[in-house]
Parts: sequence; C-alpha cells; structure tokens
Amino acid sequence: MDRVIRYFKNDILKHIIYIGVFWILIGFVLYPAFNTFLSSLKSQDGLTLKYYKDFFSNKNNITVVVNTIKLGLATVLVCGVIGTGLAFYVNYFDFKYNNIINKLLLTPIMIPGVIIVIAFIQLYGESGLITSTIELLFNLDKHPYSFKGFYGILFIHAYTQYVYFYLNVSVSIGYIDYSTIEAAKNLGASKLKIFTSVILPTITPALATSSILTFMSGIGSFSAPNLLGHNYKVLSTQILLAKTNNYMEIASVQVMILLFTGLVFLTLLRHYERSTKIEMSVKGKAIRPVKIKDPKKRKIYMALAGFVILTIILPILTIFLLSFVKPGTWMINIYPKEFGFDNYMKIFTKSRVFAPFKNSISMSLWATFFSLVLGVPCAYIINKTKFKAKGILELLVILPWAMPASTIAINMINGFNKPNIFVGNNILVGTYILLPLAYFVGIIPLMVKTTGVSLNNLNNTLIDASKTLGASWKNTFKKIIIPIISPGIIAGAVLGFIRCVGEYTTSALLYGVANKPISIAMVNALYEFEIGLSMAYGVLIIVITSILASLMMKLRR
Amino acid sequence: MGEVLLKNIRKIYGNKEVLKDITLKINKGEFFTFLGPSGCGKTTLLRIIAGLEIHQKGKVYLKGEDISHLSAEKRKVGMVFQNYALFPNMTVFENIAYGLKLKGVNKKKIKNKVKSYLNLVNLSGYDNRNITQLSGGEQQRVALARSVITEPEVLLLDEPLSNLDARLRDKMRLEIKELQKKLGITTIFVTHDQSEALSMSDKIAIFNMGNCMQVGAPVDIYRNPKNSFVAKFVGETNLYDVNISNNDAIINENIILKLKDGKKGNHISIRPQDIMIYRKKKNLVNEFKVNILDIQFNGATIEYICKLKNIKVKIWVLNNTFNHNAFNNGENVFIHLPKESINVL
Repeated sequence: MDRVIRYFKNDILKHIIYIGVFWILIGFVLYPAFNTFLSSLKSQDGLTLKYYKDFFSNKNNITVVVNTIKLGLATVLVCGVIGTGLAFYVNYFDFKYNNIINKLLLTPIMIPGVIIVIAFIQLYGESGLITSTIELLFNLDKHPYSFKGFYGILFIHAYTQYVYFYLNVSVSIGYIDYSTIEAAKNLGASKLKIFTSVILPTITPALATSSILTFMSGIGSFSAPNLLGHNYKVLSTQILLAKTNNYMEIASVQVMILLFTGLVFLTLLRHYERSTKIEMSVKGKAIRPVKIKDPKKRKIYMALAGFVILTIILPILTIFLLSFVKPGTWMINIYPKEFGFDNYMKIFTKSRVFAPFKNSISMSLWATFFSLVLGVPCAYIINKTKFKAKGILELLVILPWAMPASTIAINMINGFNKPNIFVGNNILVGTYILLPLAYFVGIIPLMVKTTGVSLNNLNNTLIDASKTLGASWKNTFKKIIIPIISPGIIAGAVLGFIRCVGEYTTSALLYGVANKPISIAMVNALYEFEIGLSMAYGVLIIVITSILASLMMKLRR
Repeated sequence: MGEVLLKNIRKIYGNKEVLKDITLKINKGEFFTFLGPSGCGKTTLLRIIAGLEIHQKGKVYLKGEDISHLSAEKRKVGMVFQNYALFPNMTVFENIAYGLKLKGVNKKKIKNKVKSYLNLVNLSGYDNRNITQLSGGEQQRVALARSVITEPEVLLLDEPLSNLDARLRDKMRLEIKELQKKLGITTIFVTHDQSEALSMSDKIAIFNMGNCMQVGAPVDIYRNPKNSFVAKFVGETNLYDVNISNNDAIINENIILKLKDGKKGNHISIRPQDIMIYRKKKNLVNEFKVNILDIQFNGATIEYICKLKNIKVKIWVLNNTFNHNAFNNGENVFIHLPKESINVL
C-alpha cells in the first residue's frame, strides 16, 4: 500500500506535466491542423469532396501544384550540388582561409529569407546595382538577364538553402574513416571507385536528410515567389491570395495539398534514409585535408574562394550600404549618392516606424518563451523517460516540421476562429497573441531537437550520482541537468528567436494592426520606394541575430 | 557504519528474471564483493541497494531498518560509478562539497571537511581544477571523496577500476582498500575481475544468471568452489565430467582418478598449479604418462598443455631458475594429480 502511495506522491507532478504537454500539442498543433482538414471537406450540406474536385478541375490550379513540386525538386538539385560541392571544398582541402570561408558559408542561416530576397532585388533586379553596372559597362539597351519567375526564385533558393547540404555533408565528411580509404587504395581501387564505394555511402544519409529539409523549405517558400514570382505561381502564394479573398475552403484545400506533398516526400526519403544508414567504425581515423601543391591549382582554388566570399558578402554589404541612403534621393540615378543616418533616426524617433521592430522582438521573445516551456519537458520525456506514449509525443512534436509556414498560418486561423476549449473558449483570430503562437508552433521541432541532443549527451549516471548524494529530484534538475544541458537549450532558443524575428510567411497571413512585424514593414517600405528604411530594418535584424549567434557560439565552446 | 541485509530480492525486467530470490548479509565494516560475468545481475543488485532500481519482491535492510521503500536520496548510501559520474559543470571542490551543501552544512565546515578529504585521497591543492583537467586516477579519487564525505552507512563501488590502465588499477586497488580500512566503512564492490575480488575482499558473493552461486572468504572460494561455475570463473582450473563409483572418478570411461573418501558429484576440478610434472616415473597414486602439446611462457609461470589419452590437462610451473626450459614440446613426461587437490563438484 505504501508503495502505491509513494508512487502517486512522487508522480503527481510528472502526470501534471504529461497532461500539460499533450494539452498544448493537441491544442496548438493537431487540433488546428484537423480543423483545416475539416474546413477543406465541410460544406453547408455536410462533408464533401467538392472543393477538391473544383480545385483539380481547374487547369491553372494543376499548374500551381506542378510548379510547386518542380520548384521543390529543382531547389533540392541545385542546393545539393552547391552545398555538397562547398562542403568538400572546405573540408577536403587544406587551406588557411578555410575557417573564415566556413563561417561565411553559414551566414545565410542567420539572415531571414525576406531580407535576402530584397537585397537580391537591389542587386540583380531590373534596376539592381549589378544589372545596371553590366548594362553601363557593355552599353546594353536591354536587361542582360531576367531576375524573376522560376529562375529568379531558384537563384534565391540556391543562395539561402544550400546551407542544409553544406552543414550536414560537412559533418558526415568528419565521419569518413580515413583508414577505409587507405584500405580501398591498398586493394587497388581507383579514385572514382573510392568515391562511389567509400565516400558516397558515408555521406548518403546526410544527403537524404538535407534533401528532406530543402524540399520542405522549397515547396513552402513564400517570400521569393511572392516578391519575384510574377507569373510563376506556387501553392504558398495562392494560399495567401485565397485567404485575402476570404476563400478559406480553397485555402484549406491548398494547404492540405501542400501538406500531403511534403509528407509524401518526407516518408519516401525517411524510408530511403533508414535503408541506407550505415554504422560507423568504432575507432576511425579522421580524414586528412589534402594540401594543394600545384601553384596553378592553388590559384584556381584561391579564385574560387574569392568568388564564394564575394557572393556571400555582396548582399550583406548591399543591405548595410543602402540602409544609409537618404530618403527620396535615389529615384533616377543608377547608384545612390546621398547617405546619412536618416533611416535609423526615423526608426528610433517615430513610434509608428519603431513599432514593427518592437513588435517583432516582443513576439519572437514570446514564441521562444513558449517553445522553452513546452520544448524542454518534451525533450526530457522523449529522451530520458520510459513514458509509454512517448512515440505519440514525438510524432506530435515533429509534425510542424512537415507543415510549411503558410500551412501553420491557415491552421491557426481555422483552429482559433471560433471558441475552443484549449484556450479557455476564446477566439484568438484578430488578437495580438495569434501570430506569436504561430511562430511558436513553427519552432517546436527545433527546440525539442536541440535540447534532445544535449540531453542525449547527458549521462544518466550523473542523475543517479546526484540522487545517491542526497539530492531531491528538484535539486538534481536545477543543479545538474539544467546547467549541463543549458548550452543546447540556449542554442535552440537563439535559433528559434532568429527564425521568428524576421519571419515573413506566417506574418503575411496573420498580422494585424496591433502586431505588424518588421518583415511586413520592410516589404511595405520597399513598395513605397523607401528602400533605405527597408534596409535599415534589415540591418537591425542582422545585427541582433549576429550578436545572438556569436553569443551562442561562445557558450557552446 | 551499518550492516546490510538483503532478503529474498527478486527483480524482473519484462519477461526476464534478472535476480532470483537473493538473500545476503553484509557485516558492518566488511569489504564485500559481488563477482560475476556481465549480465549476471550484480550491478542491478547494487543499484537496488542504492535505491536506483525498484525490485519486485524482497526487502533491503540497513542497520536493521527496512529501507526498501526509501528513495535513493534518503538512503545514506554512497556510490562510486563505473564512469565516476563527476559533474562536468563543477570544479573538484564543488563536486566533493555537493552532498554536504544539500545537507545544509555551513560553508566554513564544508571548506574544512572538503580540504581534509582531498588530503585523504592525496589530491590536496586540486580544489579549483576542472574535472576535464584530471587524469583517470584523479577522477577516481574525486569520486571516492565525494561519495564518502557525507559519511554514508554503506559505500557502493560499481566496477570503479574498469576504466583504468593495468598499472593504475593495481595502485588504486591498494588505495581503495586503505581508505576503506581507515574509514571502517561497510563497502560493497562490484566487479567481473576475479583477481580484483580475490585481492581486495573480506568476502565474495559469486553471481551467475541472477543467482548467487556461493558466498565466502576469497581463499575458501578459490580452494573449495561449490560448483563447476565457481570453479571455472574464479581462477584457472582443469574441469572434467566424471562418473564416480567407489571413490574412483572415471573420465571418458578410460581415465581413473582416486579420490579422497566419500566425495560425490558429476565434475572434478583441479587447479593447474596443483599438478606435478616430472620426467621419471614415481609410481604415485593418480600418476599418468602424458605428451606435451604446447608450452606457453606467461612471465612468472610456464603453462604446459598436455595430452592424457583423449583429454587435455593444463599445468602451471613456477618460472624460476630451476624450472626454466625444463621440458620440451612433444616430450613424454609424467604428471601427478594429488587426491587432496581434487575438488568434486
């Protein structure tokens, strides 16, 4: 009997936490998604497939779906080639600037997509700085290239999304056991054979994982298609159109198709990923970077390094430079001529202009806070307990990963446009909190994953040791677990915050007068020809994310 | 310091019974070892005593008090883990002081006590070092100091020497034993290494597949193993299946060994160092002509593998000036298996 009493006494808090995390995940992830599904089927006469039939009977809609898938696949292909190539370029050759190049190559992860799109338009758009320079240099009457439509979007995707391949392949190159390469050489294998039989199998899982991430962000991408797409329509932009015209059923159908496409790709690649997973040898010898001795090859390598650095730095420099352009002075000239601090003064002195900046910071803080409250216990339950329903919990936690940002936004509208029990029978549509909640849903997987990695590295015997030294569960959590896993938690929180602070897609679908975020203000400023102001907003975000990122790196060390 | 009594302990994981009705008594101040192969249940039993595992049946008593239902932090049991489990976010001082701080001991007392325990484990001046700056042996000492500073009733050691290299292991054996003597603390030591168990323990319990096979003093267990598992696991031995009739042990129906009176069983065990090997026949009881199949040089001893009809016999001879190079491979020699050295199991 006393064993039963002890069980309940010890476990009451545990049960409260279990109920709490399920309540939040069901309420903010599953229930809204289910409502979108219902909304795509519900008509006045009950459940129907009418909206799906209507959707697929229109040729334009089919083009949109095909465009989306085509864009997703092309993004995977282009980013795969660039990211993998760069990973080998940096990790395979011994070159003294590799460290700087490596850091530079990771910067696109720190800059919100919408800022990069705007910077690219300023560089390569019809009246962009590079485009105009080429025209001037070669005395051309026409634009030398068209930076819009499919290729324009793909160009931006290549720039912003190669990072997934670069990062994962770089890590897996570290796992290549050099002695297996030596063994293959010893057995008479050619260089090509060594690549196909030793190196490729080792990096295949990384390629599969990166393909999933890139495809998902490719089909869900919104800022590039919205600002550069012109006639090239994709599902995410059509969702905004349907929502703006208040065709929520159509938006729901489009969301379901986008979700389905993502899930199919995810399932196929997960299956492939599992079947190709190989065990690494226990005691491997790390790969040795190769020194380039031939001076000609060294020059080519240097030139390539210069090109990579320039390509990455140019958009960032453009953002900084244009942020100082005086308002109304750069209309006709090819290059801006008058510079000053006016845009920054405007942001920090006019409350209306400052509001989007303040909103983004506070909403991102809220979203990060929610993700901490939910993410840390979830990661703990998944990684450190024998809780029976943890499989379901894990599924709920990674579900937002399969949902592009526009999907999450429509789900939030469908879930909270009527009173529901999960939020105390309130309606959240039209309130300030809906957008931070949508941001929060988007970063749940990230938070749980990063915390989970730290928890996995936390040896269980440390917890046991603390207990045998007389520490209660609360003390062990406070003095041992939290301090040890805090770098992981902080990394998750920083990355989550960075993702929220410049978020554009969900914002475009959910923002209101009270919570207009900085990304929307940037695009609006661009449309109102206040390029300097738009870029000044961008600089503020880049400065904040860079400071946070370097803090995170310091803590990790 | 208290005595530990384990009464009818049973532990089941899923369908597997990992501890089958274990009853053991560990006396006050004793150095008691749980010895057995991996997966035999010895660590599980240690963790049950610590309160880190919940057992299905049976009771754990400490100083006569039933502590079965107390959680780990309330048991007054110190433990050193296989990987030491030092907190990486704390210095050496903070690690050792951790238990005292939790008890609410005042800062000055903590400082003095930690200093004296650092001294006790020969780590004076290491207070502010990070755990990562310590060698394996130093980490081991910090773990030891941390587990005994709170003056627990029992000290549990879970294979604490397995991560150290051979030389350091020998050194730490002595240090642990010395510390235990100095503090007079009841100690339970888990290991799979028989030489560690034999050299350090007052008493040993041998485990296999969730059962306790034998409990006794090291010499007793080595000389008089109760069954074939213990004979094989503790020390090297020659173990044969036999039929016994009229004080004769018959191996493979063609080798007959004379036994001491009244012994019954299905196996016999004889240690390699108990067998005599020589060239000239002496007409002794249990004397056989054998052929040397293989000679292995092991440093202090020389091992001869001999063929006796269709069985193999292992013999150890001390490698001193007289025995060095005494016999050759392929040579026919005589061996003598004294009756007194034959254990019937």
